[in-house]
Amino acid sequence: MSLSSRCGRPNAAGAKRVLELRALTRRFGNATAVDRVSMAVGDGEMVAVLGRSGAGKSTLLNMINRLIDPSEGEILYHGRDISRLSGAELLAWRRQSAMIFQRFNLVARLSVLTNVLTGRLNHKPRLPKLFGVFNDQERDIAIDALASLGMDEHALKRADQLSGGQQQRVAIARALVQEPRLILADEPVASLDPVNSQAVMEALRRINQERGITVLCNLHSVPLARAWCDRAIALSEGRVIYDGPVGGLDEPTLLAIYGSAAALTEAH
Amino acid sequence: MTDGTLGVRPLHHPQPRAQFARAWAAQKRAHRLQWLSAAVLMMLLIAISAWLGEVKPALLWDRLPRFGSYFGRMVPELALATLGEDLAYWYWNGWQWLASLWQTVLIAIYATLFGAILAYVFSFLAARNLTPAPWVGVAARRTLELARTVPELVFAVLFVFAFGIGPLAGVLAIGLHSFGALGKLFGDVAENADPEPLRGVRATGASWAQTMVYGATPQLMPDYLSYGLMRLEINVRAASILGFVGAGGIGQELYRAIKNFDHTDISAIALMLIAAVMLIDALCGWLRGRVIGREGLRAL
Repeated sequence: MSLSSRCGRPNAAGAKRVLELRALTRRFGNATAVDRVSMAVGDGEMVAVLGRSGAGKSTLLNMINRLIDPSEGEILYHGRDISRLSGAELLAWRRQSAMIFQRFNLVARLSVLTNVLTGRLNHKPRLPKLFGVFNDQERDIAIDALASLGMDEHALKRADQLSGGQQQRVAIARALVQEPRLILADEPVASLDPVNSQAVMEALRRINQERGITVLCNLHSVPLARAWCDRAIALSEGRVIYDGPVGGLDEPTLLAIYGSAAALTEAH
Repeated sequence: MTDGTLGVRPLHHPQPRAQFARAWAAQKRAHRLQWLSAAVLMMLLIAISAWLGEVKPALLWDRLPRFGSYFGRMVPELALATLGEDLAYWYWNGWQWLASLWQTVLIAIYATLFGAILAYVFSFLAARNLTPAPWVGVAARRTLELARTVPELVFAVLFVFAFGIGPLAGVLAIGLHSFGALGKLFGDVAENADPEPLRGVRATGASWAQTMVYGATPQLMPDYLSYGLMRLEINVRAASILGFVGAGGIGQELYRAIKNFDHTDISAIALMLIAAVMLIDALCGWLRGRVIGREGLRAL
């Protein structure tokens, strides 16, 4: 409880609800990856989504961004149903709900700067961007975002010349220039060493606190969730089995999430 | 042990080797019979098709000397004492031919550009992993098939009829065929595109076209360039032939020489053409090596 009180936002009960999932379900053939998940996320919260591999964490985040379409259920953002959007409205929603991926998903052969600028593709004017033309103002926005992550000196390098930790910070800069209201981070530190993991989590936390952007973060590691997040939601076989402050993740709860003591040790 | 059985005692059959030998012999007999009947059938089919196609090996043998004498007539009279004059006489129309050859190369370059740009756009529509909708993919793949199954010469005849004699018909004919051939190759390459950067760009709210430009193009460009240069080599050769049907370039000169029985002109033009094609092949090969080579070295 001491951690969550340090963060100042105990859980969703206090803050205004912005994102609400209602019985959200996704099936792949006979398998149900996400099974009637209902939850509400408050404005400016930083939520860890925990669970074993295959628990449905990734599918859940991809559904919120609509890279994966839900089979059933609703995704409400400020009361508006996101799960039925299409066309230009869908693209505008993706811009507002920025994704960060486990394997960074940068375009290897483009410069760091251009990779960050792809975060501006949904901002007007859109036609010149089809031919690689961005204006000075957008370049300034991109450089500022890189600078806030200490990556501005690498702007002209090719993305594949950077280390994993550096690439993930570039990916966060790409998310920032989207000017999102929500950041969905899908295992953002699972491919990184401990030092880089801390740096990336620290960057996400800073963005969350300084800019008030809501962050949903899939995590493998319970200590990282305890250290950086306000609240934890745990999935098992696609269902929510815990929803509460990170301080409430005691041994019995963790055993329920990870199934066995051995799997739990791995998560520590 | 003494007869080399390694001491392993047979479990089911008292004589495993004899058992196997019988089975093996039976299999060999069956295979031999299959192979023999297939060979007889094949030879029969070849004989029938030769008879239907009026292929006469005897004729080939009889007329072979005539083929040789044709080449003989193409050899110019060159003497060491008057080599300069003889060469000048042989290449009496050299500058005109060089201009035509240059036109042929230009036809190939423009046609390759025209075909490659169209193929670039269509490759994203046709690739099953990138296509905006399944029916668009099917339509794009059928369009490409149509464009590449019609030979360049047929297109050229049509375009000469429509736009008149000249290089425009050649550019359109070769370009359209290149569009079909390159679109197929580009599309196949695009189907192996790494999905991760594509998802990264897609997730920012980028449109389909933007995702193709920023997510797909950078990773596919080396392969596209390499195939494009290979197509340029092929198109120089194709462009030299198209003049026969009036589609511009050196082919028109060659056709005139053949028609008028100007035998030394034929050899003069043919030698220029062979040299030009070899030069362009070498140039494209070198460029292609640079495009692939750099990438290949990075992977090691």
